Amino acid sequence: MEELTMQQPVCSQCETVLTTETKFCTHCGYPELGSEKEQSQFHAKRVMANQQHEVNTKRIASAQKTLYWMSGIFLVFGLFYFFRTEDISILITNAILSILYLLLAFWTKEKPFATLLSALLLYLTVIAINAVVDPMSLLSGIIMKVIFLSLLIKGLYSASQSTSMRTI
Amino acid sequence: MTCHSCTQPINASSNYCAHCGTSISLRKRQTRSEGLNLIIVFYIVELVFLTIVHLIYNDHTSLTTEIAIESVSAALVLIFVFFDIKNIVPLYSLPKLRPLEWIGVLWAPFITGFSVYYGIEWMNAVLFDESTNYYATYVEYNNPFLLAFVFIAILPAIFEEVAFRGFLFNQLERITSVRITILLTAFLFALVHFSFISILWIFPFGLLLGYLRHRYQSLWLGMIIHFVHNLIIVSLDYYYFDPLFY
Repeated sequence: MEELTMQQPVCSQCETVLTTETKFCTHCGYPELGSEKEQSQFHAKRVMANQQHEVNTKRIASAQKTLYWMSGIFLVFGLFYFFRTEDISILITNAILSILYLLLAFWTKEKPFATLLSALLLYLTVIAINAVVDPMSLLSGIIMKVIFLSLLIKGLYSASQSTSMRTI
Repeated sequence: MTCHSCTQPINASSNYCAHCGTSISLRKRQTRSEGLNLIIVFYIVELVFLTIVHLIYNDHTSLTTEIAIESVSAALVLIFVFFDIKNIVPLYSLPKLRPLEWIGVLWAPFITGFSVYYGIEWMNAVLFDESTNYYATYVEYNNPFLLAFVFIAILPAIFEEVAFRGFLFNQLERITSVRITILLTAFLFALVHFSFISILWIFPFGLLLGYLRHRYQSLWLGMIIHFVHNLIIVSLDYYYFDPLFY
């Protein structure tokens, strides 16, 4: 007896099994039964998506570097003010902030969204608390603050765009 | 689950709609960006408001000013709640708990209230040589306990819960996992209290409230625990209040 084997159609791009009546692959979005124009549009979009992914990875990496810098700067400023004012509470606060930022930096590779959101909002809180103590402190080191904030925000939005829920 | 573009049914594990090719993950990413925008705006608004409050608040702040501050605070929270009203209203449904779970929930604020009152009071006295009596703030008005009860026990239990375990929790849950959502809401809840030493207890307290919000999909348990906890603090302040020091 002759054995009949039905071969199921698969996506030519990612080899996901397709059902006969579907036009698009549900895994990669390739228009298997689409026109030539639709298929070339797919390839163009994929190139752009890959470029965006690279940009996001770079932004997360520079946000991570920013966290290391912030950790160091908190410690240096803590020591500086301690030697100038001999106020131990500033040194303790800055040392704790420095450790927190170091931990967040270490954890950024694994959970970029959670760490960068925590780091950004913690930094904004530190700026706000300093403004309560001395409103003029808002203006001191304003360029450095803007640079840190913009790098953290860029990294954070890139992390929120990750396609894998595991990393955010 | 249906495609938002062609309304055809789609599989939950699909990345793209099989009929029109619309990217499901792109839609998810757009939703995340919207959620993140709301989180950042909410937090910055809260920070700016709190900074202004701390700058104008002092020992001689009148009751009228305090009422105005509380009203603005409540109005800000309600504006944000309005953006997510359809997901927040269901959180006011009563949770279904077994009797033993109710006992646990009702006991929790007694444990947190007493340990925070004596633990933090002791730490503040030892480390910073300072002591705060919330009841004393209202003692020069008529019905000081009633005022302390409203401003410290009732209002935070209503508005902080809907702000952090309602609005913020919902936005974070759109972006990240439940575990990270509970962690982040507790962390931000601790940060906005602007008190370094308080982070030690507000963070775990926020974790408990966040967990209960997730477990029972209701704000009521958080509101009850928060209310009883703050009521215990105010009552102990009332009990220990010594007019000679004020």
